[in-house]
Amino acid sequence: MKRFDNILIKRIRKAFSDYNVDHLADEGWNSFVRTKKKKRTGIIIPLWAKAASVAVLLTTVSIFTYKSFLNIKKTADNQTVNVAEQVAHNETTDVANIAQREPAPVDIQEPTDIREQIPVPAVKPFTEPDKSIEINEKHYSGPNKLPVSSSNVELDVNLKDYIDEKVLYYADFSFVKSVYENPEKGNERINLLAGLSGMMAQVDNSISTNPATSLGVYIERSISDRISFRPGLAIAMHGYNLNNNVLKENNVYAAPMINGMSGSVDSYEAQLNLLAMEIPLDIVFTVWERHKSKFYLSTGASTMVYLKQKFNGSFINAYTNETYNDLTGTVTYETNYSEVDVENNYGAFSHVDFFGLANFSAGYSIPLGKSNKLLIEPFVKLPVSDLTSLDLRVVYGGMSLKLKFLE
Amino acid sequence: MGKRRSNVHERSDLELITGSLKGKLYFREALYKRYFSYAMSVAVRYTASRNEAMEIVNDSFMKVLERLDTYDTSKPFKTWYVRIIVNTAIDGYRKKSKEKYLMNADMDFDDEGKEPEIETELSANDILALFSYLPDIYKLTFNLYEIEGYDHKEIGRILGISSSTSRSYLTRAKKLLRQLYVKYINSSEKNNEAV
Repeated sequence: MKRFDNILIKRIRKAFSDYNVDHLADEGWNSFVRTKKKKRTGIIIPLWAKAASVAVLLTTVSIFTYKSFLNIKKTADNQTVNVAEQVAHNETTDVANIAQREPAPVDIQEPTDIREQIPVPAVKPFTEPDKSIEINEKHYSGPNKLPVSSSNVELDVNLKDYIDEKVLYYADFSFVKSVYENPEKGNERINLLAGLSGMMAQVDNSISTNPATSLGVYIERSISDRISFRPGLAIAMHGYNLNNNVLKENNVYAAPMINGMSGSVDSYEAQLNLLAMEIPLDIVFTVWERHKSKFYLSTGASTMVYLKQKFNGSFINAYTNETYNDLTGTVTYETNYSEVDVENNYGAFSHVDFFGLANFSAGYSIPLGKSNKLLIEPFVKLPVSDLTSLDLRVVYGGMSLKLKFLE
Repeated sequence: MGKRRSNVHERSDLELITGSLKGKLYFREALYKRYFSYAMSVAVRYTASRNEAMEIVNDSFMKVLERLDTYDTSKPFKTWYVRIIVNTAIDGYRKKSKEKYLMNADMDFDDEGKEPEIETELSANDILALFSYLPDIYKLTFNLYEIEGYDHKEIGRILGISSSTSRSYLTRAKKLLRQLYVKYINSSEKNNEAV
């Protein structure tokens, strides 16, 4: 066989050295000029530009977050100073009153007893709120406006704590609630959230068995009392099992011609693992709010920037050979199969789906500690366009837990 | 100017390269056309069609123009250009996919053990027809080893496979070429003789 191979190789070399297509040179040059023009005019975003745009985006979000925190801190400082001033004022004006009172320990387990201990005139002003407090003051007002506060306040306790511990628990007056909650509204204008999500994916009609996880940070900016805007940035890891008929024909792999026979993909088993950066832009609508808990609906869109996509697949190709028998006039078909392993790695920023996902979620927020909230948010994400480099239609559904930092 | 353009084809490679570096279009055109046929003969070995080969040549010439200032004029331009063409073809293959062909035994034609005879000259079209039946990875390995002169270690590094895999691909490529030769070239020769 070696002799044959050597001769064949020599012939191949000779054939290629004799290869002459000079007559196509003009056609080639024209094609080259066209290609060059096309490449010049086409919008090609180099990798460094893509990386730079992501860096700019991250920097903007960071600055925005930092400024928000500065504002929150400033507001909180002002509030503390004002409350301290008010407390001092209360102290000087009602010191005699305080001195006359016996410090009555409050048993919060027995509200009926405590209610009896609280003088009725002290509670009464809350049922008829002073407009000056409600409209003008973000902070707690003086003793004339809140006599109940002055009656029970201790020298080193601010009014907020006082109401929290001794008044709000018993008095279900809307005004008390609003006074209690309103001071925080200043802080709630912009909030930082951190979230962890677990989700399942459905590619076409098959649900992937691999759960995906996502970790992100979000900023919630109140637009009105009930509507807020929530952009964010999350890193998500996904893995999909791709069964038959999910991949678009010839998109990832096409059966090659072997021994002159054209083939077709008979079946395949494939897996796509990816690391993606999700940039959601959502609007949050508060449906109802009670005490510090609220139920809300959220909708928006997400842009997916793929940092890594790894495709592994095992394809079974079918090759059917048609043989015509001259003697009998019959045609016989013989099908052979070949197995091909395909592995594709797509680099970072190789694909971006701008607003490729529509987000829908409903959530419930509950207080977590004094200054945080826990948001429990089931969600679905529906594809607006084909996603990933494989052009898949992926539907996500899952549960998100978010921690909202109020201070 | 017209006189300069008319005799541009008589200029040396170095003159064409210097003119191309200065951005003169007619020098670039002359350089492209001078090596077009040769470039095509290299590119066509790595592709299934003439159009694809032309794309490789065009992409390669684009790279040549971009990197012309790095070209070492003490070495032949042809060698440098060929290396760029081969690399461009390999890049194209890499972009398509990393495919490992695990052909079933029943896909192979039986190797009868009898050495076939090569009597007639093979035309480039015959060779291209045979090559079109080869899986890309076999074609690449065969070309890099037998035509370009790379060893298996270098091929392994270029294609991201082990040198033993490269050896295996080469053996399979040769075997497949033999079978294809017997099936398509020899049989047609015999048919012609019979007629």
